[in-house]
Amino acid sequence: MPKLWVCGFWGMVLASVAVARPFQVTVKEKGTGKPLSRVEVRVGEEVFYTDPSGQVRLEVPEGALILFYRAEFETLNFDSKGFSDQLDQEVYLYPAAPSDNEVIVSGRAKREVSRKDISIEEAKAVAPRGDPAQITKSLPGVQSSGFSPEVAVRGSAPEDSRYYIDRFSVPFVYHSVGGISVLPDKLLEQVSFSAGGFGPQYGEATGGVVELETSQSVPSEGFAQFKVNVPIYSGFYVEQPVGERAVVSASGRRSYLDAFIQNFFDDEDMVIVPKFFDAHLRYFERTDTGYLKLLTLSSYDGLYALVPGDGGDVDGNVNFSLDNYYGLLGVEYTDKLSKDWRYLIAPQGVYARNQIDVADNFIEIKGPQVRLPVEFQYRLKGADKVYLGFEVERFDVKVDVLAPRVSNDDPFTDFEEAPQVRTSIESKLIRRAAFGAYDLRIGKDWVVTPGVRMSHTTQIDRSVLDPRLKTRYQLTQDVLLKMAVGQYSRSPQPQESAEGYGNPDLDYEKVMHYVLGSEVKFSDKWQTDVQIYAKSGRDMVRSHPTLRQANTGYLRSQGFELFLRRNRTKKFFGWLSYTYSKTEEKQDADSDWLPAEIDQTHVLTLVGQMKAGGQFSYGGRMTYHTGDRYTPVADAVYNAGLGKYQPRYNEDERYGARLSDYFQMDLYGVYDFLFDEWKLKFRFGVEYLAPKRPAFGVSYNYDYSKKEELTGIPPIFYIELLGEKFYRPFYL
Amino acid sequence: MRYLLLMVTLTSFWGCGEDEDRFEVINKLRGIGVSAQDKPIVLNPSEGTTQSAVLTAHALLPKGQSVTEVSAYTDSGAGFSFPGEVLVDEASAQVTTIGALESYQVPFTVTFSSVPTAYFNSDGQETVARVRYGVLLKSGAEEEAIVGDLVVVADTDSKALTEWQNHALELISPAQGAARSSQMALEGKLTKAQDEPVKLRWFVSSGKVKNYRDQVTDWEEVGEGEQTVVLVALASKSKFISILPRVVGGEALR
Repeated sequence: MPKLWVCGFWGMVLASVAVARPFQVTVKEKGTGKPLSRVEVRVGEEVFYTDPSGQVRLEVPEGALILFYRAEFETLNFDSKGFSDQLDQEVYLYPAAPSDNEVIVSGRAKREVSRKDISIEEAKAVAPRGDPAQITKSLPGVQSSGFSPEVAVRGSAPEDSRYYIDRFSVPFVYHSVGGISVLPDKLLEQVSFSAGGFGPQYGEATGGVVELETSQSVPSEGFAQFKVNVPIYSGFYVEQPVGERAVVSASGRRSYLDAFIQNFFDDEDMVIVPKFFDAHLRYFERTDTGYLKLLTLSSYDGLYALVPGDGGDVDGNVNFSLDNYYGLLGVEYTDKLSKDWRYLIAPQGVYARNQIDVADNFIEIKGPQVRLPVEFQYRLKGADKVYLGFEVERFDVKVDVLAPRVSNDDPFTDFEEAPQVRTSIESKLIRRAAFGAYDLRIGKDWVVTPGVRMSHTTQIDRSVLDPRLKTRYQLTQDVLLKMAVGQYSRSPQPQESAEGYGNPDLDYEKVMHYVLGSEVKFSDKWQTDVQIYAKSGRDMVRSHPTLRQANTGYLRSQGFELFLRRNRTKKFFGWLSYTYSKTEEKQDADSDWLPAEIDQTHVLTLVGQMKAGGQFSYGGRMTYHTGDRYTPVADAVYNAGLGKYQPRYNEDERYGARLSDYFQMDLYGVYDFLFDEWKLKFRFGVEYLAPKRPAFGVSYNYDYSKKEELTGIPPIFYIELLGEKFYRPFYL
Repeated sequence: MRYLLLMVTLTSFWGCGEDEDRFEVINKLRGIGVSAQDKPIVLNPSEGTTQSAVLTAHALLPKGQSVTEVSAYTDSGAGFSFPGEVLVDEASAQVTTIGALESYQVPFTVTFSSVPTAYFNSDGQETVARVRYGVLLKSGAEEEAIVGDLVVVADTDSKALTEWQNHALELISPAQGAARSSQMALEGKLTKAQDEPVKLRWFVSSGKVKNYRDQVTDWEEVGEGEQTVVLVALASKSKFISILPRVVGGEALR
């Protein structure tokens, strides 16, 4: 109604104008320079519309006022005196304050029971530092430490989960500095996370599955972006369409946190230098019935620290250095074999190098890995589908170690005291797996999917059969019931089964998942996903007094998860995630059940983003969880050989104490400075806001007679500048 | 794993109560080392027999305090060492005043049976094992458990038995009987007998040492009157130990 009133007013004004001049006006979006079609242009009583190239031809009387209107943009009243003498004129419209009425639907059909699909726009809005890969930290079933990028899923350790970029398996998707993902957000389309009960296409994971899915769209224009983040990193991203079906993109990022971080430490003897870089080159081509993706990726993380410590030599300092690198080359291709058969093949090669030096110890693991997953999908009569596939992975690993023999599960070992083992191994390891699943539709509302995965690894020369079953039942239009049960197996870590260092006679770890849940849609804007789960692990690899490692351990975890989501509109978006869980483990069949290391009873996350206008948005994230567990020190001795006090623990108090509960709030704002053809996003915020600094560990005095919580992370303020520009493809 | 290692490293130097509660300051009963009469390296006894070694536990106390009780101690947390039996010779204990500190030394005998093969994997040496000993000292309500390892070799050809020698330690600064000042330079010099990490530990009767693990560092906020500094060198593999005391601001150590 106000719009019509404004139009009427200007119509009366324009009626008094007499002399007309011709103009060719192009109407564009401010900040991108993209032409706007179907823009309503009023000159007096006359109404015109821009064509698909944003152009409209006008006869404008001298001094006339022109009104430009299009939904989702601010209405522009323009005095033709502002036009130059030239025939061609350009007009830019600013984005209007967004509406909260229209729900934006994104994501693909969901087959997994515990899977959450978060679009890249949603993830960018509420993830830590706007980095979408970290959104998993804010989802149900996930436990994390405040500053570590790794996540623990439903009581399983971070290394029990598997990470994918598209269908390519990668060693990690987060940099150790700031937890930033190894791919720029512009390349991503969706982040998917399964907390359990996933299908047989996923193997070697007893925890969860994190998938970063790259875009499958082909833009009509080129795009360039640069980012300057203070204090962490800078980077660039460019993409260029190639014809109408293909796009090529490239990016590079390098951190410079090492130049800032030294200021956080007072001790002049301490040197800490973390750094990372990553780069990618990608080609995507859409075919008539499928697509081709080619992705190359390089990722490096490094850290050097020189700190006063007990493990040093006569200078009293301990040096620590870490170098992690991997390079990926992968091709993903999918197409139809016939009307009912579809296949996907995703060969990949990864070269990884991981080197850690601590004092006089070192671990270097390096070598290439090739992997070939092939999947077939067959559509039967009706809506039934059959999924078949196989996967072959080969690792050529060279391990060079001079290090204490320490077990991951043993929190009591002193690194200085454990026997120092010198091992050099070159081994070839082949993992093979075949899997199948069948979507059986019973009526139009019920889908039952039995599946099985069979795996074999030459690492321990053993096989395992994992049966899995999941079902989804659409009770009403707005209520979905779902259930999953299955076995999930993982072969031992290389160091756990290495000859001379671990135990080559190990078996697979096996964990049963049980999931029961319901999705309820209250309205277009509100929906919930509620799940209860239980996990039961056996043959868990644990330290052993004579075998060094053995499949003697047990794990059990159960919990309740609530995901209340306010679907995204152009104005608002957010969710509340709550997880209650209890996780316990025992070292062997005769031991008692004791708390597990990863056992945050309550995890509550609230995220949200609001657009306050066409150019400003703000949001935040609040995280609360029960304090992490640790094993309290019972006593201490002075070790005359090591020149230091050593803690002694009671075995029945293993992980028997907790840190203070953790609370953290992150707030941010984004303002878009709009120029005619490009925009500059200014993001600012603060992280780790809390009434008191969050605890991430316990520190004892020199003889363990006093203790206090380690609270090292103060509120961190940051700013980020992001320049974005669309451009015409170079070949046009 | 990489984050675990990072956190272990970073938390190793994050200690609470830095100023008032420091490792190097002897303000209560403290163990500083265990020495051997000859070598802390002995041959593994044959099956059915035992082997013994006589060692001496060294402790420091503030002047005026004394050790009231000493006994054998069983270390429950020595998963990588074979347990030995300790017999303390309390009657032969010696107390020496060193400036502002008391030095307490008590001999004890470690006896052990044949060490199983599984223990012969220490420090990358398949012919080397460790035998754990422990001594518990009491001074009033204070208790100090001193533990350590005796190096055991599988045979007489073991490199540890034939080649491992004691290092040479020299305390360059402060000089014997030097005048006290509020800040004093500390400097030790070490000559290694073989390639192994050797750790240095400075102990003082007051003030604080900037880096008590460094061979060249500063002793700050030195207290008034006669003060004592003790430098200890610990060889990480061979278990050789050297202890050198100095008294400043008073009579020279006799």
